[in-house]
Formats: sequence, structure tokens, C-alpha cells
Amino acid sequence: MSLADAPPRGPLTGRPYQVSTVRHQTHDIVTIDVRPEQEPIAFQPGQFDMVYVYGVGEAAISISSDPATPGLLSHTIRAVGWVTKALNDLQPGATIGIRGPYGRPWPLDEAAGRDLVIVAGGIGMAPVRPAIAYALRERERFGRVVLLVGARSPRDLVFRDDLERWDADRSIDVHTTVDSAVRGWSGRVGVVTKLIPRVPFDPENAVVLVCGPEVMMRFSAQSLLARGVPAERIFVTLERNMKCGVGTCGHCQLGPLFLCRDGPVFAWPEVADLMEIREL
Amino acid sequence: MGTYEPLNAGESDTVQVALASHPFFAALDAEHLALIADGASERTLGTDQFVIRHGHTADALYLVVEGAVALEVSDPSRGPITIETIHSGDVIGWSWLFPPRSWAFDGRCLTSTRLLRIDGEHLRVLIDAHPALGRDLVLRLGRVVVERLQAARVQLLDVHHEPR
Repeated sequence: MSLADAPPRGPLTGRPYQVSTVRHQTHDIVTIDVRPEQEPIAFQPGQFDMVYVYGVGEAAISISSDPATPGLLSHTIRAVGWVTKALNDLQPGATIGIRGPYGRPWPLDEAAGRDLVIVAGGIGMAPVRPAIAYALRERERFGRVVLLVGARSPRDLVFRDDLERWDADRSIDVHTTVDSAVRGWSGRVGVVTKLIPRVPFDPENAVVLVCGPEVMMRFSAQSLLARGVPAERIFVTLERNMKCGVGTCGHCQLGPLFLCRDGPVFAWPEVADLMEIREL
Repeated sequence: MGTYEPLNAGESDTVQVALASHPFFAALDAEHLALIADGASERTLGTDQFVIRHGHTADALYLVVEGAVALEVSDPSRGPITIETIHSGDVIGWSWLFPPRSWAFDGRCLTSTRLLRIDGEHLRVLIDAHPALGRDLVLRLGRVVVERLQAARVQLLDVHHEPR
């Protein structure tokens, strides 16, 4: 069978990518840079891919690289299951399958002319990193750009090089905190929500992107609302057990929403009530 | 309490002005502020100096003007453990209000730290003598306590921990 006879590509068809770099972020989180073996596909900040390890399985992973360079895709992965453990063990030169990008991106156009505030917890830095890259490139489009980062401990901070670089060149206002630390850490200790009341930005004229564990996002939203940020300008990104990525299988259903198709990015009023339902 | 841009050292010619600019006393009645200022003084501590020590008499309320203070517990097997850090615009200490009036933690400066110290005995006398001021002060402290309690609860949830 020649290539001309190959079946047409559908939304569920993966494409081969070659691993070019594996960067260890923490003891259980890696960032894998991959290059397509065909033409790169553009993506927008906040979108995700379905990443396939041949012979093992597939997992939904947020894209963590700069959308300006779609030919070099990054995915940042914590080893928690079979697929993500296999992804953590990949070496440069390996081939994986990727289909995507999928999902509703961060509404960065809505933030134009306003302060852009990003609240990231733990590996939640990954889905917001493309938005930061975009904001840095289009810096004049935004007012203040503020990044609030929380992690379990100093050793759990991801993209530390980026944080240090952004902080040093003052291109964005970076505030980092950890939940616990032993001596040797001279930075902030406390949950990331504690930063929200104090950091300078205009709450009435800000768009806020929040990404992290759901409990952290709920408390962050409460703090942002208390600060005076309008609910419709708070955006969170959710994840469930995504399988198809195109809103067909229903594995990622949250009430009436399919997170892969309707999200993963939602305005707070779209999901606030759903996130309070224990059974969901 | 909102965002805070502290006055530079020497910029305020009276402690009362410095108190008024601190978020903890935002919009406090000027008359009450003057009464509080009678028991207040400014001090600067260097890196690793202690603002408060566990077990020592809790004799003052501290407002952090500039710098950072780590609230620590000393553990012989692990060394000092930081519970949280307190920064510009925050306050340290409500133990002066309640018996047995002793500090529950160490407060160690992470950097050169400028503080406003308000004598605890002075505040207790004011609370008894001026009920309106007392109510206002206790409500402000209560808000800080609630914020710290909620933050501590979120901290306890250990939300970043990934179950194995």
C-alpha cells in the first residue's frame, strides 16, 4: 500500500514525534521536548495533546512550550500511572505518538489591555507556561503581568530556571511560595492563596488564569473574588480522565460538560457550582 | 488587608504616620490611632535576629513594615521547621492578648526587617478603657487569625501531594 492509499487522518489519528530532550524537573516530573516527523501543527496556550507511548497507552498531557515554536513541543509529566511512568523513562531518540492539540485555550485576547495574573500550583505551571511565553512576546498588550507560584516544597518547584530568569529580568512580577521548607530556603513559606490579597494588580481590571490541584483552584478563586476580581474574568483549567479528546467517549464528563471538548479552560461561573458537588 | 507600599525609613516623622500607613490599621479612627501610637515604637532587626522566641513572654504586637520573618518550630531531629513566613504588611503575634501570654513560635528575620512594636500591656489597657477601640482592634486581629487559620487548613490539605 502506498502513502496515497493510506486512510485519511481523523481527529483520533496520532502522528509520530521524536523525543529530542528529556529534562528532569523534580524527582517525579520530567519535561519531554519532541519534534514532529511531519509538518508541525500550531497550538494555542492552554491546549493539550493525547500522548501515546507505543505498546503502553495514551494520556492527556498539557502542552508546556511556546506556541511560537510548534516544531518543538514540550510536555511536562508527573509519573503517576503506567503511561506517565513510561513517559518519564523515555530517552532522547525515542518515538512517541501525539494527537491534538485539543481543547479550549486560555482567553489571552480577553486579557489584552488588562493586568494578567497567573496562579500556578505545582505541575500547574505546565499549562500556563505557553501563556507566559505569549505574554512575554506580546508584553505591550498587557498591563501588569503577575505570576504567583506555589509548590509543596522547594524541591517540587518546576521550571525553576524560567522563574529565576523572569524574576531577574523583571519582565513579569514573579512571587514564589512553598507549603513547607526546611532551613536553606530563604523564600516564602505558605500556601499560594496567601499571596493573592497582597500582590499589586488591579482586581477590577485583571484577567486571572488559575491552574493547579482543584482544591487549590477553589481556594484561589475565593481569594480572587474577595480581592474584587469579577468571577467571569477568573479562568481555571480542569482535568478528568480524558480518553478520546474530542467529546465522544464521555470519560471526562463533569455534569453537562465534556472537559476535553468544552474545556479544559473554563470561566469560573461555568464550573464553580459543579466543582462543589462531591459526587462529581 | 490590601496591598502595601511602606514608607521608607525616616520618611514618616512620627510612629503614628507609620502606623496609619500599615494595612493592619487601614481606616482606623485617628483618635484611636493616636492612643495606640503612645505605646508604639519602630525597630529594625538584622538577618537571623529573633523578633519573638518560643516560650518567652508575649509582650507586644508587631507590624512588619519591610522585610520578612519566618515563624519556626525547633525540632532537635530536623532543625528549625518554617511554618510560614510573614512579610511586609503582615502582623506578628496575638499571644499578648490571651493568658498565659507566651509566644508559641520563634520568629526569625530572614532579612533586615523593619517593624512597628506596640506594647501588649498598653493595648490591653486601651481595650479595657475604650470599648469601641477594643472592639475594632479585636476584630482586626480576628480577621488575621481567620486568614491564618484558613491558610493553615489549606496547608494541611497538602494539595500538591500525589497519592501513590
